[in-house]
Amino acid sequence: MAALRAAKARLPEQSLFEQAFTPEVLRVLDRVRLRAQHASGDRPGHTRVRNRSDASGTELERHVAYERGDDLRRIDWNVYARLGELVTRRFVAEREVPLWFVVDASASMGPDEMHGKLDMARALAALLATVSLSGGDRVYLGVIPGRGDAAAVSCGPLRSRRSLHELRGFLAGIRLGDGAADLARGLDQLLRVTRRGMVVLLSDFLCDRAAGARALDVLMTRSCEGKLVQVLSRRDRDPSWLYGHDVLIDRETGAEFRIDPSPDTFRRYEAALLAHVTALARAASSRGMASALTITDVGLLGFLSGDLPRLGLSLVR
Amino acid sequence: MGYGFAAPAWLAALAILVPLLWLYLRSRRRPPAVVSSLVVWRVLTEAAAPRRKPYLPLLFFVQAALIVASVIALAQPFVQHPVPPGPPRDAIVVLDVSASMQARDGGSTRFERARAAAQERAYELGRSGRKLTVIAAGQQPQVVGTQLDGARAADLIGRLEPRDTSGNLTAAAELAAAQAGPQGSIDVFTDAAGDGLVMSRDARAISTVHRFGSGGDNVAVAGVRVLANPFEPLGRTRALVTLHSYADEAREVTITLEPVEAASGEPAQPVSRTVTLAPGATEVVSADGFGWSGAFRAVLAPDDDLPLDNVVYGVVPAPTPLRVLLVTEDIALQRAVETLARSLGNVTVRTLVPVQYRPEAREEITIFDRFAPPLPPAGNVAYLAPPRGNPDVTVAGGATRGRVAEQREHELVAGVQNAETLLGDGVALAASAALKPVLLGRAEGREVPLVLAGEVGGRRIVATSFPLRAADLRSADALPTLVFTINLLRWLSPTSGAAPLTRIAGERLRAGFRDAAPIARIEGPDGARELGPAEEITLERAGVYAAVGGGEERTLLVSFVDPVESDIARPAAAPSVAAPPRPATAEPAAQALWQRVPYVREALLAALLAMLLEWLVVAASGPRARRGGPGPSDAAADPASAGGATA
Repeated sequence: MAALRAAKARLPEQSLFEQAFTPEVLRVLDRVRLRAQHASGDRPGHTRVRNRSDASGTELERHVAYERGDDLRRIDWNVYARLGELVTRRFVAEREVPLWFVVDASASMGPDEMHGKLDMARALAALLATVSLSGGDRVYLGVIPGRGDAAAVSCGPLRSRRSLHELRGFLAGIRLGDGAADLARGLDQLLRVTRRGMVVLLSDFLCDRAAGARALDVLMTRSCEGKLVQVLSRRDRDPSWLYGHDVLIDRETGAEFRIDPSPDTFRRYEAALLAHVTALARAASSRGMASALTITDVGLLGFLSGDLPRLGLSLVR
Repeated sequence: MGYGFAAPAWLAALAILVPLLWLYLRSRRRPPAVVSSLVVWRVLTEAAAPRRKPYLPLLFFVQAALIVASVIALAQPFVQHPVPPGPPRDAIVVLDVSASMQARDGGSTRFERARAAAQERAYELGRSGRKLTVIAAGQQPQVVGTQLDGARAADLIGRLEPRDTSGNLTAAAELAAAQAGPQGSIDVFTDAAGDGLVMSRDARAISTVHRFGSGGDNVAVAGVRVLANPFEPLGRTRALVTLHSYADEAREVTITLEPVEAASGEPAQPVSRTVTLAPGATEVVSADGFGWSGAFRAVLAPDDDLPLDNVVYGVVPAPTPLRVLLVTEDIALQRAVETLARSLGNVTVRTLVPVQYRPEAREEITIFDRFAPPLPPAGNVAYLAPPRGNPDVTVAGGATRGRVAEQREHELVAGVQNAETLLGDGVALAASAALKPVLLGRAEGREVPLVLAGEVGGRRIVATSFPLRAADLRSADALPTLVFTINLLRWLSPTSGAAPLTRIAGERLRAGFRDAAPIARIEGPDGARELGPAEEITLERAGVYAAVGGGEERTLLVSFVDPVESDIARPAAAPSVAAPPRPATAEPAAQALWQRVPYVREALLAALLAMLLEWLVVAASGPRARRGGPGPSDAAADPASAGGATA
């Protein structure tokens, strides 16, 4: 955190994405781990999966009664010496968790500028992916383009910090589309071969509630642990800058919309936005997923300290 | 109550509101705004139908209020409050009742004409619905009546008569102005010339002067003085009558002095003198050869336009033998005084040595030479170098010799030249409240009175620090001593208690006299009038009065002598036109009856409050408050707190 604060203070004109790759930040991220809650892969790895146990491992989870066919080497003879019962040890499963960091590149995430929504999404993806790579997880990067007929693009798997250059190049190459993104279709394309992984979806989710729900259903179908990061800008949240503007143009569709730029209208917009965010949070919660809203103004530091715990993720040393 | 601005030109600054309004309306013509998505906006279906009428935010109205309050403050607003009504706004009629109004003018007098005009004016003002106040402008202004209708005022005016005194129109006009107030009117009826009428600006602003009388041919008796020597016979008494001509041409007049009351015996012969007076000339006519004594009137003939000043009154004192008691041990002084008395005539001197003196031995005049009895005599007395021990004179020291330092104006030292020759070895006197120094000297470095004179209890007292030298009374070279002695006898000669009192018209007469019975009743030209013991009245009529008091009756002679009033000549003037009567419901002048209360500070305070409110509005709608304060957006930023569940 201190490194992030120092980097932000020293390079105020640096984009959020660039801040995520400063040496100070990387040194800090090298010492922390991103712990998932129930996502786990099928291949052994370094991520301890709490709700699963293995016959081998490093952290003892429990003892179970010996059954015929169990490996005799797993019998805990000390217990037998005291209790006269044959029990075997079960350890916390350590798996390789496939982690997907999917960035929405629809036009609503624009404009592509420093401290914009896309910059924030790129930076968060880089930050979390870097931590995951440090933990030895399998990391995938995906981009859902801002055009309905375009295919989603992915990168990975990336397995170690040596892939940081590839990770940075992929994220830096993300370009905004000129239309709306179909999140469900994009996720379906990206997760065809992935099951039981964790998907961090970075988007503004300024789409129909039904479309958002379909995207969540795709994650459910793939048995993935979904983490929804809703990235909004200051202008999205505070419409007071629209005083004097009575015509709004949708960045994705180019459609016009006439409003009465009055405080009452803006208050009602804020209420509608709150309802929209709340609906997304409820939809995610009902599917066992976590969601968090972050504003571009808070920066990486604000996200890590305030919004990341809402996702059920935590950085541990 | 009214409103206004002291500097209304500043109100033009309200035009600043126009560009302000334009700025706010202009912002509505901005280009369309590009937003991330309309998904949320489309929920606001009502927002899709913007209002037709232009929208102005609260900030505009606050700023407009700030501008309006500032401009109003610059324009200096005020509120006019009606001033409480002042004195009653009457129509005032001032009638000059001074002596000059008695001047004949045509077939009547100036006063009669003025009085008739004043009555007519009173009727006219009464018909216009105004209440009248009548003021008589005599020596002192007198309010005859207030809140009168026209008929009542005319009736009171008709009862007024001119007085034999001067008039004070200035005081009357000021009294009228105070009574009338700024909305009243004053009508002055007088014969005073325009330049002789002194009034304040306020009084003149509401006054209409009606002038009466022009021309005027008058010769007045300006005074009379009787020179009577008690040592001489009646036939040598002289009366000096001063005449003054106010006529434009030479006039031959005859002044006749005749007794007021005819003697019971043979008829008294009047004394007449004829003199020709040049225009504006003053002549003193000397009359003698009186065969009678007592009160007389000096009557001027022929008659002129002002008969009032053709008569004055005087008194020829009756010659009575003067009896003198001289108490001295100086035989030479005794002989010298007796010789002087014989020379003067009509004076008898009786001489006693101090051991023979008894208080019963009283005469009209008692002269003590270097002697003072323990009890003073009842009559007039002179002390020559008195010793100590007398209640009349305070002797401060023994023998002293000084020099004459100051000779004051007094009958005792009138005509005394080189008073130094009077002095000799004497005593040191001390002045008192009753005895004042007449001749002052200086001895041993301080002032000492040499001659004291005064009245105590109706007695005349003279004290000298030096004795009279017999040799000086016999020597023609020592004239000052002789003159002083004659003056002493003349001043000490008693006047008759029944001698007539003489006054000038307009003077005040006190009912009480010192050491005499007060006047209880006075009868004269105005009729009889009772007086209180301490009452003081103004003698407004010239003539012969009878003052009764203490069982005695004294004659009171009141003469009219007033050069200003006698000068009745007036330049011809166009008849004055009466100002039209003001309606009773005339609107009050704004300057006079309204008071302006400025409200500049309140307007400035309103401007400051508007400025503060503007800051609050800006702060409440600005991004900083939205970022830090709790609001809907903050709830939106925290879906968990809004009910959203997290995994």
